[in-house]
Amino acid sequence: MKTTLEYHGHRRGGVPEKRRWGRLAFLVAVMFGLVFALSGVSSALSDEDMASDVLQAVMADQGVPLDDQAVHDRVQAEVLEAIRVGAITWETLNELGFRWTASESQESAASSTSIPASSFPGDALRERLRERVMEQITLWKAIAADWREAFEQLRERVRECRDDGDVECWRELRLELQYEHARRFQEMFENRYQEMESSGDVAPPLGELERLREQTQDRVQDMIQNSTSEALDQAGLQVQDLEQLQERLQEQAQVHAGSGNDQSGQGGN
Amino acid sequence: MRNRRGSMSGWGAIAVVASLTALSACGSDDSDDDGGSVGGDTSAVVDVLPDGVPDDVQPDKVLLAAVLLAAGDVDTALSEGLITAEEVDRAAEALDAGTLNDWMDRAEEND
Repeated sequence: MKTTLEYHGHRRGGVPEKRRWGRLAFLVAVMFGLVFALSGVSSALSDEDMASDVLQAVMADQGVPLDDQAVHDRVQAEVLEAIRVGAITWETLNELGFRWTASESQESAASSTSIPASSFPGDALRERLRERVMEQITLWKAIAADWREAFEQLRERVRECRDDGDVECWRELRLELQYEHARRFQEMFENRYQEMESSGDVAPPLGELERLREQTQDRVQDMIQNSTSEALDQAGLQVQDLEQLQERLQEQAQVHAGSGNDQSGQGGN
Repeated sequence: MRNRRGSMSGWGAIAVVASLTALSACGSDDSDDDGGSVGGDTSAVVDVLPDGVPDDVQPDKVLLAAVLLAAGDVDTALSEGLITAEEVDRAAEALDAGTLNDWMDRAEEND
């Protein structure tokens, strides 16, 4: 009653109605502002921020000081390039928990508004980074031989392209490198599954290998679709080579999908 | 007696020659390990750092590979030519052994 009286006491010539609309407008404005600000945070977190945070977190976790500004800038530029080619993604960083470091309690909001650490990795992030390092080293041991052979085949040219810093040189080499690797990976993948089927043992990074098989298949598909005949000629390749490789990778997907493995990632076609 | 002494000195000479051969073989093994993967040309021997790291392994790239092993995808980076297999090898070793700092030192030397 008192409230009503006070309310009525403040009523002067229809002001409350205006005030109500005013408050509503204010609330709407605040909400829009928040949404805008949050989206602003998200967009303000550029790839550069992301590169800086990832670099700092990994180096801090390894106890490696980033004191030298020149090295910091160079490596950050490399990390930035890795982000641009998709070798580091927001998705992976979110999975690792980079968003929690600013505020551990922002779990629900973080899906749209990532707030990577600007200072230091927390204990949880450190733990996830270390777990991932162990997983990735295990995976690397499984795939290293194929990559080594692919690089070995092109070693001198890789060296030349790097020394020259020639983008065009890399463009040509990239096709060959990807093909060399895809060919070896496909063979390794097949042999590995045959070994597992005969021995009954399941290799630890099986799910990751399947993901890499899909990734390799996508790469070959990209080569088929986007390589000019001139580029293929320069790389000493023919479309048929790529198509045959693609077919084999697809067959492997079907074989393994039908073999009853409990692996995900069967829909990579 | 003279014959026996003579045969002993003969065996001694053989032992010395064998030791020298073995030593030289060890030396060539080391150089093969360091530079063998470069393709066996003479420049490969020159292009090897004192601790056996080929000079086409770039410290900045090893640091990048370490970041990728922790928070990225080395397979994609390799396929794009950002890093080489050898650089991932070095990064994996360093992360495993906790010696990534050595690569930071090397990167700083490159300034």
